[in-house]
Amino acid sequence: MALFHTTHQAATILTRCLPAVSSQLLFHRGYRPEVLKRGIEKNKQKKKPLHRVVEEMLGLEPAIEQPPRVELPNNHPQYSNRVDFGPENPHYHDDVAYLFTHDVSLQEGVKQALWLTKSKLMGNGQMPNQIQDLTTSLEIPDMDEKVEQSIRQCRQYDTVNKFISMKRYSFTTTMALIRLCSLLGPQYSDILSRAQAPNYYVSASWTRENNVIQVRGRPGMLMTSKNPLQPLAGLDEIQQTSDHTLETFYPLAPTIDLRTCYVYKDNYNFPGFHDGYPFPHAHTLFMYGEYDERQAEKINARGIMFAFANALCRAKLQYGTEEMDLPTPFVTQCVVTNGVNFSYIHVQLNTLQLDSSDGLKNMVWLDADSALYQDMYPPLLKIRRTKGNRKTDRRYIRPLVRRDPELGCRELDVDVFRKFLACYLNGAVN
Amino acid sequence: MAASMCRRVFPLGRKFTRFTLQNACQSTRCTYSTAETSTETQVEVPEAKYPPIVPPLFAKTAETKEYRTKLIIEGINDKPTATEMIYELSKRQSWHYNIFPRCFHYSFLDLYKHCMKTVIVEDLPKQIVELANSPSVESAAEMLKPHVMDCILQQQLYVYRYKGDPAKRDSTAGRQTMENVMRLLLAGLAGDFHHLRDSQIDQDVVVKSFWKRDETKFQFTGNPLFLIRTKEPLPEFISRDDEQLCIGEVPSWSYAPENVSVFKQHINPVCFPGFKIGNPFTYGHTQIYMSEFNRKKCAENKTLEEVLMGIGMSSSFGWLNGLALYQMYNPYRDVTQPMTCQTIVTDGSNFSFFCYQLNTLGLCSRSADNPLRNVCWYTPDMKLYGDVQDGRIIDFNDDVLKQTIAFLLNPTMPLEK
Repeated sequence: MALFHTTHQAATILTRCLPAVSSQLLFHRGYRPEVLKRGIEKNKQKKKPLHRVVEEMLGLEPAIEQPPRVELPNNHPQYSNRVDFGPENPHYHDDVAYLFTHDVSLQEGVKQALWLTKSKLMGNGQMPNQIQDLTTSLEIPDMDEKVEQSIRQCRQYDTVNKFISMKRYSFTTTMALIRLCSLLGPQYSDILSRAQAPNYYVSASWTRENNVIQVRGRPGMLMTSKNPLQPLAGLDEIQQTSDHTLETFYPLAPTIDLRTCYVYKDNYNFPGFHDGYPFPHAHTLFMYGEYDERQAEKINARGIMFAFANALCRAKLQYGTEEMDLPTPFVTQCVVTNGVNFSYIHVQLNTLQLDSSDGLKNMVWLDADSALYQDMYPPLLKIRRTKGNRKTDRRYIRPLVRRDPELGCRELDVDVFRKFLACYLNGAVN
Repeated sequence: MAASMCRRVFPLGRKFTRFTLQNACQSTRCTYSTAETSTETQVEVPEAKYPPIVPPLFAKTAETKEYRTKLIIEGINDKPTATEMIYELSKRQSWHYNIFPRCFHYSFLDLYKHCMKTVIVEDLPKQIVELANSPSVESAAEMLKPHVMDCILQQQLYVYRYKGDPAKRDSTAGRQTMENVMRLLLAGLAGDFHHLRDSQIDQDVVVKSFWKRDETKFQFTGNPLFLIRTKEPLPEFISRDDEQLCIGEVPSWSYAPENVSVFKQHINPVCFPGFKIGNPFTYGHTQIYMSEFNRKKCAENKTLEEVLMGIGMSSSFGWLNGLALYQMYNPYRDVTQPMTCQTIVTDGSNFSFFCYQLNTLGLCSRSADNPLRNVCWYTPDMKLYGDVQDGRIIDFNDDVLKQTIAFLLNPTMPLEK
């Protein structure tokens, strides 16, 4: 201790070997990292108590015992839901699986969905014949007036806000149309033996030309029923599909845009409901959401994928995972909507031999993007001068948009609702 | 000029005027004849009519204050449309106490009763009880019972849910059960009954309305799961002249509402009973509220019944008040006929039923001598089913289903023209 008379002296000796850096400069941003580090170290040295300095210099044992430093974990194992996605996971595979979820948008749209599900597009953009017959035969009293009132409520009167979002009115329109359809309940009592499951979960998996493909997620609201839907195409038509060749899009891989993952369960098929469920058959999947015309095809493809997944997981749970042609086809429906445009998808699952592209194909009917009413109209534009200069500022002219007072009622097409009604009552009408 | 010359001739102080003197001289000259004319006829002069004497607008007297409020109220009542009337009522920001359906504070119900001037009566009105035991309701309940049980089983047992917060999971299950049950009931009943067929249903909307009670302003905000609105009103449950229920006082609340956790905000009040003005379905029929709170905790505190009563009463009054404002009634122009609605408060398995009759809107201090009060009937909490064991429902309560169906089937009254 006799070496150093004051702490000041000790500090000067210790820091003499370092280049001079003003500690004030450390506060400045943009200091070079090595200089900053040096400065920080110097500060640390300054703050050390004298006995520590001495001990370190002479290599003595610490006079005052330091408590051991413990690194605290930043999450509690009980409340953390993190999963190890590395090879230590029990579900880890060496081969990749291609995953389709609600937020995957397929580059090639419907064509790619057809390849992935090994399906043939039927009906030239029309619904199947049985459903088309239903559209003409079913009738609700005062249908036009009621449809118009429902749409007006959803588009004009629904919320406190002046502008009703598409997310809101697509949901309300779907529910209102379902309620209109259920007015026919006393006549067709089979619609009572159904249940709706909003935000349900589905997952299905299959292989397609040695690619493991899985569909998982929560696409929308599923209407389930006690009775299965009747097949939409006869045996002859099913046999004819073996001549059909699926379209590919070389040089793009057909699995483009699907998410890859290595941690997955083999043959994981789960319809979202546990065993013993009183409504075992998937009737219609209602997918409502927010999308515009540019995204329409991708959303339709999503509808095909999820409708197919609904059918496939039920078929695989019933017939096992072996590849075979089904004795009775599985039929499901899907209605995709953004509140204005409605797409009607019908899927008939004929075969579980999905690996090779030969043999029987499944069937898809797609009646795409029929507008219930005209949403595009010439908006009333008023040019208004706002703050700023015309040459420098883009805010100089601001269009003032007024909403259409007849919003939701221009060129109302009740035939689109008739299709909806036919889809809903399919299975209840004998 | 003449005046200055005059002054020069007769010097007099500047402060004194000569004009009065000159006028007096002139009057004595008497230039016109004062003799009575012989051809005089009696002309009937009409009595003079003067405009009413109004107090000055900007004085600081009680009279002026009264006059000014009278002018404002006339301005509100003269508005031709409901939009303008509501704008006139709500254009000025002021302090409003926020009333929400749920309140958990001890003895909050006294405040709610006072601010809505409502008396709470146990048991439902006669008509509803009779309707619930009628054969049409019983047959409907018999038809729908197996389907309802299936839907309950689906939500309670078979649907795969995330493992998360159990309270949240229960509330979503209850909500989805109720959506399913309502879809079933409407599918089974709406086709046959014209008031349900010609009705409109809002799902998951916001209900807002505002009112004034003794110079204190309130803003209600609720979020019902379903609103059923019709073109025709429900009939009144009892006559407004009924002395037992409709006429009388409610216990007064002389404390600050902050004491029961009801707080104020400086806002423009909003009136929105589930739809904007212009929709033709303007009368309330039935509303369904989800009671998404911890029932166990409330039962421990022995406040469960009060909380449920608060939800049913405040939501009914808030909705009817908003509907009345849309029909051009306001605190200064009382309703001509009582308005009624029915409310179900449920969490999917426990049901409370409420009937509300809005007799009066005159709650503010200007109508202090108003003898009327509003009436709320209620049934205590009832269980739809006891439990779910081994994939089956135990102790299914038919009365609850019947009561729900009776609410839906309560027929509307045709409009008087």
